[in-house]
Amino acid sequence: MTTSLFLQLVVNGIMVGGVYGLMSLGINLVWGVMGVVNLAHGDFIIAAGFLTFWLFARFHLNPLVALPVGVAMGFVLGALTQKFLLGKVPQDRGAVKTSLLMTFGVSYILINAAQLLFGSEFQTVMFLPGSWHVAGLDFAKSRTIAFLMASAVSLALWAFLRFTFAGRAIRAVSQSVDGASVCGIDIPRTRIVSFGIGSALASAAGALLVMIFAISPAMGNGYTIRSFAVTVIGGLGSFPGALLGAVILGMSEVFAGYLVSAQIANGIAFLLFLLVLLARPQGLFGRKPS
Amino acid sequence: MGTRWMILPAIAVVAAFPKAPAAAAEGKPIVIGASMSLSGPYAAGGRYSLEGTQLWADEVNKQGGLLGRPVRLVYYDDKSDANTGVQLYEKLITADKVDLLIGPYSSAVTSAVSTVAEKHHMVMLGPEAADVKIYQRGYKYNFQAQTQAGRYMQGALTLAKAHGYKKLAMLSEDTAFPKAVSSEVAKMAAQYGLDVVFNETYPKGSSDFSALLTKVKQIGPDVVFANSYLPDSQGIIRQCRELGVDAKMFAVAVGAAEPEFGNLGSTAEYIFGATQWGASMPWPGNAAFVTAYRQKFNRAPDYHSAANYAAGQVLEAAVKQVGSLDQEKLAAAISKLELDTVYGHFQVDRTIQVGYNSALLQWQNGKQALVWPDKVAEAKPVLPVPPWSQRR
Repeated sequence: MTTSLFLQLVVNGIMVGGVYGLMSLGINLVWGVMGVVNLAHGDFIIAAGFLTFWLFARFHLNPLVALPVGVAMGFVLGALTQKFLLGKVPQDRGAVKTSLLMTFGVSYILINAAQLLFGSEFQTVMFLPGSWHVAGLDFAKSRTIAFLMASAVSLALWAFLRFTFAGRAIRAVSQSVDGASVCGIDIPRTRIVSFGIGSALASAAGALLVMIFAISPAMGNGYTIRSFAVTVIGGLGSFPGALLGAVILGMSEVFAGYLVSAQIANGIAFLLFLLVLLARPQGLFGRKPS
Repeated sequence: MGTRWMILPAIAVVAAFPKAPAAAAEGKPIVIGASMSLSGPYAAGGRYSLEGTQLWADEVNKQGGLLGRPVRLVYYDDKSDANTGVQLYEKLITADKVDLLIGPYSSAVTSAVSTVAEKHHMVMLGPEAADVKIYQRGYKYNFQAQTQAGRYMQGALTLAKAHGYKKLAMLSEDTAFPKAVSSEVAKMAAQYGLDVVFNETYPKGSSDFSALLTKVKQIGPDVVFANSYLPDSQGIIRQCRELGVDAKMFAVAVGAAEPEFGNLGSTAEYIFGATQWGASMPWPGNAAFVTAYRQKFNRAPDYHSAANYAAGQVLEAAVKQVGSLDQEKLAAAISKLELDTVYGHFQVDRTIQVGYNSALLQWQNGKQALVWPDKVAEAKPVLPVPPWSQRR
């Protein structure tokens, strides 16, 4: 393998990894704060992807302009889901299971709503075809833009969680519900904001994803699983972990696809998932359970 | 095969059509069952197929029905999934008790559901199943009503040979039809002076082909074949551009024939695609079919629509010939039937389609143009295609 080929594969892996990272930040946040894996996460991704596609196909709206629209829609949908569905679950011992099932139901509603609204066919936004050639490497334009946007959104989220009161409240709730509650943090409200942000991040990822790949309403599940795998690999609650896990997954898929076969690349997420669970169950950057 | 006298009953049947009683069909409807891929990766082709059958059923009813009875279509969405299809055909036969069957979309689903039809001794025409292996299992009730997979890329191979191209790379989805195409092409390649330098598969539902295409780029083939369906055809061609895979010719098995392929914009330009039919082809009733289809569905038909419509014509001819819905007699009739449909000349050898042929189109100036064979060509093929860096 020549150096330039190797570098090209690394570039491809990082680009895909950037979008995976953005996807997994949302699921990571919700999981951390609520203790629930949002099974509808991938469907929020797809919903925003279709919204972006629709705005592009119907009104010729630049997908980067459509992105904030999708993010706003994601936030509202997520906040409503938390306020009127998940927030109504009694906080007893069965709460996690009930919430998990509820997200499963939300997933079905989103899939079928998307099919009714947009049809069941694969759609993509043809935005910036072709690539830039830099230093002998190909940077696919749409992927590069998606990667940069994903990085910017991730950075904004990091700043939000670190420097704002609402962000710090989210982190506090994810560390200890009781502790946060004692300090006077409004837990239900924080959960609504968290779920809203989680869905908004999924939506941002969806708006970027549809610029790169074709999506269909039924394929959200695959992205839920990828986001989940990235979170497990990187470590729950860890910001750098989510991004590193995503880049590891993206690179593994690209290298496995090149060196072995596309079939192996497709399943590599599960392989990494198992390896991490065996060797380092808390994930690469995760906190050890106390 | 090829015995001339068989044409006579076929002609008689064809001649009988327009004189069918114009009186409204009465009595218990003849129920025709099918599953179709209305969601999932095969949804694009599946929807065209369904519409073809719907139009046929409509027209039969307008002309007084079948055996004097109206026809009614019962269909379900198999989600592009073979297992779902099997359950649905079982339901159609045992619960809905349909009188006649039409095959589903794709070889993968057809292959699976044909076992159900065969088990229940129900005749099933496969209008969307090109993989010949499905029909080599000794089944008596399954008939191929689509061009054989081996013929799909004949046009592209012929043009490649004419231009002296040598190295061929193939990417295929790892399901029945795309694999059938790649294995047939691999067998024929030498005849066309081509050397298969890359031949790999990818799982159904893949969207990132960059790893495979990086490999293809390293090899630098003259010709790239994507043996794929619409979404993956689009993905592969788009990513060829992104990765700068500059072959002299790109051809896809399924996808470029769909109008939706044009969503790729300038990237669709010069891409070749197999098609089994064209609106301008001189088959009897074809022009009227296109007009009626446009009126009913407010869009142009693609070859899947025409194949399903033609399967309806074949079924109709067989039923009229037999005069009943007796499945044994229908199977016997179809095996000997020759019929000029809107899709071409229907004729099976045992159960394998030998009448239908493939054509080739190329996207030129944002439109599909038939470029092969010469007798149906609407434009000259543009070869070699300009490198990606010189495109808008």
